[in-house]
Order: sequence, then C-alpha cells, then structure tokens
Amino acid sequence: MKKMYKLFSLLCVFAVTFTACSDDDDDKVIQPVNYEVTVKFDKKAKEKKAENVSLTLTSTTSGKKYTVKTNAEGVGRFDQIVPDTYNLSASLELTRAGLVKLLGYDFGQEKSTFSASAENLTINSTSTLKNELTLLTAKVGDLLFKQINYGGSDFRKGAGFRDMFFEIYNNSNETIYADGLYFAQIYSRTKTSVEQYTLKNGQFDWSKSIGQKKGDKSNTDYSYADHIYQIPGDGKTYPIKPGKSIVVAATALNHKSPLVVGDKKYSVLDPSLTIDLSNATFEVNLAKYLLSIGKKPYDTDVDNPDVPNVKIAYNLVNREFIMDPLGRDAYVIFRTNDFASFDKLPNPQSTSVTSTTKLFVQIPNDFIIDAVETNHTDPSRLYPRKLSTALDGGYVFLPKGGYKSQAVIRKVEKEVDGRKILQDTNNSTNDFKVIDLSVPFGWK
Amino acid sequence: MKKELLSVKVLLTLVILLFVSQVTYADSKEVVKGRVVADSDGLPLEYVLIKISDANLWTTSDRNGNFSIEIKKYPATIDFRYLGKQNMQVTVKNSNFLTVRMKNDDLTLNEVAVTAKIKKKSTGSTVVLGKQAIELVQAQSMADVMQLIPGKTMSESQLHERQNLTLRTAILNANTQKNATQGLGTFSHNNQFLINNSFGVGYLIDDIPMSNNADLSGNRGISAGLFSNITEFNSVGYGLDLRSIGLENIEDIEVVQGISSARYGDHSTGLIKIHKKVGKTPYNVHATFRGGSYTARLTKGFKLPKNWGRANIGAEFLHSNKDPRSTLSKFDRYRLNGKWEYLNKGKVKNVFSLTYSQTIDKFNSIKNEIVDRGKKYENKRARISNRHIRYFKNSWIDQFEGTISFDYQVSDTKRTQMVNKGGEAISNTLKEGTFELGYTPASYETLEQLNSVPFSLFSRLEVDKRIAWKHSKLKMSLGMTLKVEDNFGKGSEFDKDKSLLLASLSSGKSTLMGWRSVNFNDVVPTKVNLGTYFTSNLRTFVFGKKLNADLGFRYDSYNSKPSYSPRMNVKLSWNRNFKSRLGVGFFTKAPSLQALYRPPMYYDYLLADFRNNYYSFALGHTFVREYSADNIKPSKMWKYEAGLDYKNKWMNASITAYYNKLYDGFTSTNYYEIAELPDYKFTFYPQKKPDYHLQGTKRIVLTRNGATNDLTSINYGLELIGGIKKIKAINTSFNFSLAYRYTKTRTHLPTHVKSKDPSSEAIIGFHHAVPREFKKMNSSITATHHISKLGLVITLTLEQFLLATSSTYAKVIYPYAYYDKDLNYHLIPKEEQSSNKYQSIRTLGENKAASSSHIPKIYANYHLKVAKEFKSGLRFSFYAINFLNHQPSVERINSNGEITRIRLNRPISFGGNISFKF
Repeated sequence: MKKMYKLFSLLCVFAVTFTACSDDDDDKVIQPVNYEVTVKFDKKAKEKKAENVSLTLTSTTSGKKYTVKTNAEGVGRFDQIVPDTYNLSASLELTRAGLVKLLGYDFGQEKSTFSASAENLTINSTSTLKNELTLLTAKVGDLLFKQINYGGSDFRKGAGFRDMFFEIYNNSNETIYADGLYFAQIYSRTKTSVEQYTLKNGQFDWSKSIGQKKGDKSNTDYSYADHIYQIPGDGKTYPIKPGKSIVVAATALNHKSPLVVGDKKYSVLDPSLTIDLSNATFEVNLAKYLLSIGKKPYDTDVDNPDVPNVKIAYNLVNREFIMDPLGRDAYVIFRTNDFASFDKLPNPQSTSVTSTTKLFVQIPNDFIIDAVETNHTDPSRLYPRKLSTALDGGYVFLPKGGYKSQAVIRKVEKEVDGRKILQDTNNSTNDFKVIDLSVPFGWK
Repeated sequence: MKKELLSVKVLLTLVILLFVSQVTYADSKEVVKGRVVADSDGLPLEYVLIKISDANLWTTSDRNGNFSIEIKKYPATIDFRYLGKQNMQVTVKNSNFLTVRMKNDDLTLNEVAVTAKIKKKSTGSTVVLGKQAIELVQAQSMADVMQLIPGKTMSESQLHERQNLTLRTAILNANTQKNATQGLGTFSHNNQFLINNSFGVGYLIDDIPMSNNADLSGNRGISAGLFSNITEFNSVGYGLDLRSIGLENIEDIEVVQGISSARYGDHSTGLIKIHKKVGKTPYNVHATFRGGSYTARLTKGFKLPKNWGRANIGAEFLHSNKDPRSTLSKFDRYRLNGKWEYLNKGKVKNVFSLTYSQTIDKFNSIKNEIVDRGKKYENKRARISNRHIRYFKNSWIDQFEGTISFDYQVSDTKRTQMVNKGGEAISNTLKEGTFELGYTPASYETLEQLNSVPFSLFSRLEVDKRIAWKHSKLKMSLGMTLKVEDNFGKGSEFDKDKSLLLASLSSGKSTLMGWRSVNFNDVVPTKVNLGTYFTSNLRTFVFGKKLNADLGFRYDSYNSKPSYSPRMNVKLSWNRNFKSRLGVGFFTKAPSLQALYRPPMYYDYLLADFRNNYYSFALGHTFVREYSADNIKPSKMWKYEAGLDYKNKWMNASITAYYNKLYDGFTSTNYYEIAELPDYKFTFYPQKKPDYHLQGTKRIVLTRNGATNDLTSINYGLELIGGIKKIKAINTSFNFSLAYRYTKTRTHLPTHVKSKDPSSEAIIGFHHAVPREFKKMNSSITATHHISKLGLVITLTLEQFLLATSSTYAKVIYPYAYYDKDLNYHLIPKEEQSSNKYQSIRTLGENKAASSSHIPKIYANYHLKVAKEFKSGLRFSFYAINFLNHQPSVERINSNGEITRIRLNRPISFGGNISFKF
C-alpha cells in the first residue's frame, strides 16, 4: 500500500511538471482570432441592411466550417476561429413576400437566393480581420443543369473524354422548348498570380481587353466563352416537358461497346467505367464544321445518324466537344435572339489584335439562365473564379479528379405530383452532389 | 545502269590482267640489316612491319627479330610498326647492323598525346586522335571519342539515342542555346542542315567505307517527312550512327575536316578514317562503367602457324541500363570481330576482316493510367572485307590494290501503343475508288513494325606508281570504285485486324496520307555509284622551299548522273618553323536510299463514319498515285581552306581558316495536285446501314511530300590548335584549341500556307523561307600532368564557351505568290502583298524585324581524367565531366513576360575503367 502511495505521488509530480511546461509554452500556441464580415446588397438595394444572411468560413486545409448569421446591421461575427486559409461564402434565401418586403420588387418566383463568396482568405492575428461581401441579385431559372459529366472515364479502360455530356432539366410546371438554347464553355485564366492584366484574384481583367466597350461592367456583368453550341429547331421542335430533360452528348454512342460491325460488338476494356449515350437527345459533331473551315476533325468524333447534332455557334480551338475534367471551365446556358451582335474580344493579355488573335465571345450575364462553376479538386489550389457569384455562389469539383467516371448531379429538393423539383439556390456547392458514375436521364 | 555494268566489266578485265601479268625483279642498290627487340625485356619481335618512308619497299622481321631491307640510297628513313609498341622512325646513314628497341605504347612513354594533334604528314588540316587519347576517354561508343575533335564539347555518354557527328558547323539550338549539353549528335530540334551535315560525313574503317546510306530501319515513308524516324534509335537519312563503330584495337583516328583525297567519294562535310592494327598481343580485358551502363571488352592477337600471318579477335559486350530521362530504353549489345593479316615480305599483303554485332533490345514498355506503349529495336550487322595489295619492282606499276567488302544488316523496329479511340475506320485498299471501310477494335494495341535489310557492296581497284627525280618525288594512283546499295527488307507489315500507328484513316480524317504495307524488296531501287579517280602527291622544292602537294581528280557516276570533283592541297615549308597550307576541293554526297525510293502513295479520305447501336458504317475514298524520284541529285559542297603551322622546340600551333558552301542539300517539299472527291447523299433507315448515292464531286487538292535538293549553307570559321611540350620541371604539358564558326542557312523553297477560307481565290500562299545565321566560339585548354615512371596521367580540361548567337532574318507574313483553285501560279505585285485579299494565306504571327539572340555570358566547364598503369598490366582510369559541378545559368524572358532560368552545363557525371593485360 505504501508503494502504491509512492507511485501515486510520483505521478502527481509528473502531472504538475507537465502542466507547468505547457504553461510555459503558451505564448507559442496559435491564438484564435475573431473575424467580422459586413454584408451588403448590390446596386438595386444598396441602402438596405442584409440581415439574417448565412455566412460560412471553410478552411481550405482542414475543411473545418464555421457558420454565423448576420445581425440587423448586416454584420456577422465569427468568434475564436483558428488562424488558417479560408473560403468565405454568404447566402440569403428569401420568400416571394419577404423579397417584396425587403427590396420592393418581385422575381416572380417562390424563392430567391442571393449569394456571394471570397476565396483563399488568410486569417490570422496579423491579417485584416474584417471583410465585406456584396450580395448580388440573381435569377432562378426554369431550365437547369441537372447533370454534367465533365470528368470523362479512364483513358485506357473506359472511354476517355468520349462519354462526356450535360443534361438540361425543366424545373418548371410548363413545357419549355429547347430550340435555340445556347450552351457555352467559359474561358478563364488558370493561374492566381496577379499581373497587370488581371484582377486581384488572378482572373483576367477583361476591362483591359483591346476593343472592350463595357468599361467597369466588363468583369461583373459579362462572361467570356471560347466554345458555344446551340440546340437546333424552329422554336417548337424540341419540347421539354416539366420534370423531363435533354441530354447533349459529345458522342451519342453506347460507350460500353462503341462499335458494332456486323454481329460483332467491340467493347472497351472495362465497360463498367462508362455509360450508354446512344439515346442522347443531341450530340456534338464538329466534323462537318471543321472540314468546312479547312481544319481536321478529331478521331473520335463519329456521327450517330439517329441523334440530331447541335449547331456550332462558336468554336475557338477544340476539334471535339471536350469539357475540362480538371475544373478549369464553367458552363452556362443562355438565350438570345441576337447572338451575332455579341462582342468578340481578345484576352486582356493580348497587346495587339491580328487575324490570328484568339477572340472570346462576350455573353451578358443577364441572358444567362443557369450556370455552374467547376474548380480544382484540391481546395488549396483553386483556380480564380470564372463566373460572377450572382450566377453561381459556389463551385463543384470531382473528388477523385478527372477521367475517373465521376460526375455532378443536382440535388432533388422535393417531389410534387411525381415531378421532381431540383434545388436551385444559385450556389452549386449546395445544389450539386458528386456521383461515381453518371446516369444520363436518370437519378441517383 | 547498262553503262555502269559495262564499266564494271572493264574494271574486272583490268584486274585479271594485273594478276596474271608477270613481274620481273631487279636488285636494289643497298641493303640494311638489323634486329628488332622489345625495349622492356630485350626479346626479339616477330612480324614488325619495316617500311622505307615514301617508297613501296617494306619487309617484316623474322622469328628472331632479324630483318634485311633494300634501300635505294643512304640516308634512308625507316619506319617500324608493331601493335602495342610505339611507332618508331630511324634514319640510317650507313650499312652498320641496326638494333631497334621498341617501347610499349603505354603511359610509361616519355610523352603521351591525350588530345587531338595536327597530323604531321598531312597537307591539310587533318587532326589525329591517338591511341592514348582514345583510351583516356574511356569511350563506350565512338561518339565519346569524337568529342575530342577541337571545337566539340565534352558531355556524358548518350547510349540511348542515335549519335551523329557533325563537322564545322555553328548551328545551335536556338531555344536552349546550350553549348555543352547536347552531346554530340542529339538533334533535339531536327535541324535539316545539321542532318545534311552529319549525312555528309564519310567513315572509313581500314580504308573501307561504312555508311548509313541503305538504311531504312526507321523509315516512315517520305509522306511523314524526309527525316522522320520511328524511334530515336533509328537514323534514316542521318549520318552513320557512331554507336555502330567498334572501338577495339584502334591505332588512331584521322579526322579530315578539310580537303580529303580524291581517292574517296560519297562524302562532303568530312572524313573519319579509323585505323586498326593487327598483331600479337596478350589478352586484354577492359571494363568501363558509366552511369547505369557498362562495357566489357576482351581482345587477343596471335600469330598463326607457319607463314599464315597473324590474327586478332575481340569480343565486346555493352549493357545499357535505363536512361533516367526515358524509361523506354534498355538494351544489350555484343560485338565480335576478327581480323587476319597475311604478309609476304615485300610482295603481298592481304587483310581479311569480319565484324559481327548484335543489339538485343529488351522490349521496353511503359504502362500507366494514360499511356501504354512499348518499343523494341534490334539490329544485326555483319561486315566482311578483304584487302589485297601486291607490290611490284621495276614494273610499270609499283603497287596494286584490290578491295572488296560486304555490309549486311538486319534491323527490326517495333513500336506498340495501346489505343482506345472507340474504333477507327481503316482502309487497306490498293486500288483507287470509293469503298466501305473496316474498323479497328474499340481499344487495341497498335503496332508499328519495320524490317530493314540494308546491303552494300564496295569494291576498289587501284594501281600506284612512284617516280623520283633529283629532289622530287611523285606518287600517282589511278583507281576505280564501285558501290552498290540496296535494301532487301520486308518493310512495314501490319496485322489486318489491328493497324499501324499511322494506318487509321481517321487520325487525319481526310488529309493524312494513307499508310500501307511496303515491301522494300519490291520498291527500293538498287543504287549504283561508280567512281574513277586519279590522285598524285608531289614533293619537290620551289625556290629552295619544300613543297608538298596533293592533287587529285574524281569522276563519279551516280545512277548515270555524272559529277567531277577536283581536289587540291598544297603545303609549303617556308623555313624550319613555318609552313603554310592551301586547299580547295569539290565534294558530292549521293542521296540515301530513303530519298530515292517511292512506294505508291495512297490518299485516303473518310467520307462518312455513322454509328449507332445497330451498325457502324464508314465510307472512304482512296486516290492512288505513283511518283518517280529521278530528279534527286547528289548534294554538293565546295570547300576551301588555308592554314599556317608553326613549330619550335617547345611548342607548336596551327591555324586554319575554312569556307564550305553546301548546295543542293537534301530536303523535302510539298507538291500539289487537283482531284475530284466524290460527294455522296446518304439515306438513313432504322436499324440498317444507310444507302449512298453519288450526287456530285468536290474539288480537293492532294498534297504530297517529296524529297528534293534545295538546302544551301555557308560555313566559315577559324580553328586554332596547338600545344606546349612537356615542361620537365612540373611534368606537365599543355594543349589548347579555339574554334570560331559561322553558319548561314537558307533554302530557296517557298513555305506554303494553305488557305482556311473557302471563299478565298488563293488556296495556297507562297512565302520566302527565312535565312538564319549562327555564330559560335569555343575554346579549351588541357593540362596533362604525366609522370612516366609511375605510369600516371592526370588531365584537367577547361572548356570556355565564348559565343553562341543565332539570328533570324526579318519575317514577312505576306505571301509573294499563290496558287488559285486550279493550281495556277500567280505572282503578287509587291504593293498588293499586304492586301486583305490574301489574309487567309498569310503566315501565322506578325511581321518581325531581323532578330538575334545570344547567351549573355561567357562560361566555362571543367573536366578531370586520371589514369594509372601498373607494371603487372593493370590499368585504372577515372573521369569526371563537369567535376566541379559548375552550374552557370542565364535568365530568359519568354514572350508572356515570364522568366525561365536556363542551366548551361549539365551536372557532374563520372565513370571509371579497369583494364588488364595477361
């Protein structure tokens, strides 16, 4: 018993010493800090206070999240957060009545969402501990991106980029015609370094493009595309019923076995990695267009005569419909009757414009019906944002990376009379989920 | 062809006549008697070659080392040669018995030459790389040895890519401008002028040419470009791959960058003469280690029973490990050689040699998520040659030489790649027309496979005569050479179910030239070169000054196209110290078989590729065309050089200025033809292939790439080479070299730009090619610390890179002429060239003023070599390239404003060698 007592006292001494040591080191321990965000509205409601806005700080290293709501003054305070690099996002959801009450106008929708975000903020005791976000007004569309397979599948065993597609869903309760709908791939800079021709986040400062006529608004009110396709039809050719969708495939084939010669089917090495797109609504075939301008089409761009081809509205360089599996693209759908009048501008890095300078189509954000921003898998290596946060307050990414069969699909908000209504908060981080194998026309 | 056969007949008749002709012998005036022994142990040496300088009198020593040789008068200079011993020269003034002690040719000699030296007897700028210099390099391939040529730079061994030698050119890689890093012949930038330069270097092994002319082993067909090779192992259209030359028993290597003798044809830029010795030697084992690879070599020379002479045999094994830069290279190579020399004192000399080498490549493959590819290159080469020399006294000729050699190679190149494109349409048709096409599987392994069997026969017949009067001596030779080159390879073959890498129609969808199996045996022409030459060497006195002149003339007929090449070298000795040289010559190099052969060309157009769940339907149209290659001429070069040699007791120096002008260099250009491509209307049915009906034709332009002669380059420069003799007090000698080179390249061939605007009247624009200029200056100093008693040599080389500039003339984006839709040629008036009418046929980019870029600093590199020889026959050596790991770098601003750092030297690399004699 005496022995036990001795041992106990010894342990006590150790414990005290250890605690003492910890106290000595206290100065070096990272001190949590407080962080304050002021949220405002943009142009139409500048004077109004943004109350009850959800603010989220997400650590880019640990993924740890802090969420607060703004007070009546539009200020949100994060207390005692661990110094780190964070992405900040803000979102405010209002009912139709709430919107009218707060801002005095109506979008004609049951719900409206405002969002804003800022990336890669360094927050520690030596940095600025205040920030300001502006909530941008946004439209909630009737046609939505339901699914985007921009990742493709394994190059050797799957179908590579041949099985890419996107799916557009009618989220309304009326039939909408797909005829004339445009799909664009948004071009952007992929480095975050700040140059004379960029904004502070590393994105191109399009106001510095030669021939730019939109001045200050060129970065906030416009998006710039390098490849644009258009659904054909005379206006009443391709109806999409409520709760139905169209699938636009890079190549409308059963990619599991893309070749049928006589009775023999030829399969890829691992058909389970890819999908059947032979029943796609449309396909992209660049062969005819490229031949007409004297360029060589790409090997894999074959034509399924059963599936109508989309129109090539604008093609900068690609010889096949390829979306970027690494997340350097953003995708938008828009409508216009006057596509030809859109300005085509060189990237702001160009110092002169010649016949060979690459030009990008300037799309007014007001025309955009839905938009999805994609980005890097690794949150510490994000590319600069491509879209205005009014169009998409967040972004999607593929956790496994490109060519791993992964795709993104929109979440179902609710079901009304057997019709699924998809979630649309204009923030793809919230609205989309990742699936391990895409399901054209399907659900997961 | 008939003409040439006739000439061959005449030649053969001449040979027979010579052999049957009876020759009478008459007594000479004096006889020198003596004995040759080894200096080390005093034992007699048998079969020492004893020769009167500048005469065709020679003998060999007998078993006791005794010899007697006839001379015309005293004093006479006698040369003694024996494998493994240092060459000796003795001047005899009287008939006293002569005892000659020959020293071992190793590091115990008083002086060793470890750098390139100006050849004493040469009337031009020829340099010699001696045995000690070669051994000290610890070469694994001839490419390592060639780095000793003044003006070349040292770098680590490259065993995984073709190694081609270029001479007297300043062309450098404009992108990296790295001087020291490219090794010898890795043309990372595929410069056609460099390829022509390397192709123009001739190689002689014991006076028998070895070339790359008939090789087709990497050939992808002219449509892929004249210099396109399947792997970096292949060197079709390039010069000889230096890795294919064996290194055993080399006595010395002469590098003729100036005017070579008219005796040798079919080369332009220079001539590399490799001399191998025959004789009794102990067993000699060599092992060299460099990086991940090693070489082991065993040689032995022995005396055959009775009077059968002597023979040498050797075996070499090379294991080349993976190149860290390319995971696709790993191979073994072994080489066997034998040489037999028969001598009948003063009358007959016959040398028979046989070399066999084989490269065994493991199938190297790489497999990961994105790529799955592999390659294999195997090569077997056998060379058999016989050289027969007869000596006559008091006849109308002094000497007759007959040489015949066969060179036979079998090489197989294979490249595979996993392709997953979901099935591609392929056409195998050999006929013109519209066909429904087959498909490759959805994903499959493609195969590019080529069998090449180059063969060449070389024969030379020569008669010599020497005449002497007063203080003058004249040696004249008249000879004929015949060279027949062919390729019996099976060419490219492919599996019908799979396809060649380039076979799939859709890889170009409509414009790439189709690819078919080609059997070289059927389509490769036999190339016949016939040459006749006259050479003379005159030694006389002019106004009391010693004059040594080589004058020669050569007539070559290549496929019945004649060319006449005068060559001249004159050397005048002003006094004991000063000599001046002057040379001028004309050179031609016949095209390689690759440039000559013309398989039919297939233009495959894919008209449709419709697929769904029920069928796959591809329709293609093929045009077949045959072209001739009759217009290909040999490339030509005029070479001029002038030099000054200075020599005194303690130093020597030579300075040479040269001017070489290449014209009619080999290149390729595009030819066009209008064709009508059918246009079909398709009717689709559910679940059934579509029907198609001709609804018209569409006018298209067939483009073909063909070999032609159109490169011109002007090369001039200044070379300084010299040395300071061993300073006894510090046991150190110094050698230095400096080379300034200038090259200007241009071609008269226009660059073509195809219009992408279907509404444009002009469909192809013509643009002037932009000439380029290069300047380069390198120097090197080598200090050789040599203690002969210890058999120890330490050399320290300092290389300095003084200048590297590349300049481009102004670039104009506007066309000067165009083809309209009917391929009618129109010149565009100057004032209209910039008109928007021709916008679609402008070159890419913008007008640019002449520009020039250079390395903004002078930098150096340091190399160390150490060799130690023990009396037991053991020898160690070690080298370190860039032994200080000196890494100077320069910054370069790219067009987008970003800065790249370019490292100018490659990092340190080292290796070692052990050799043992027993």
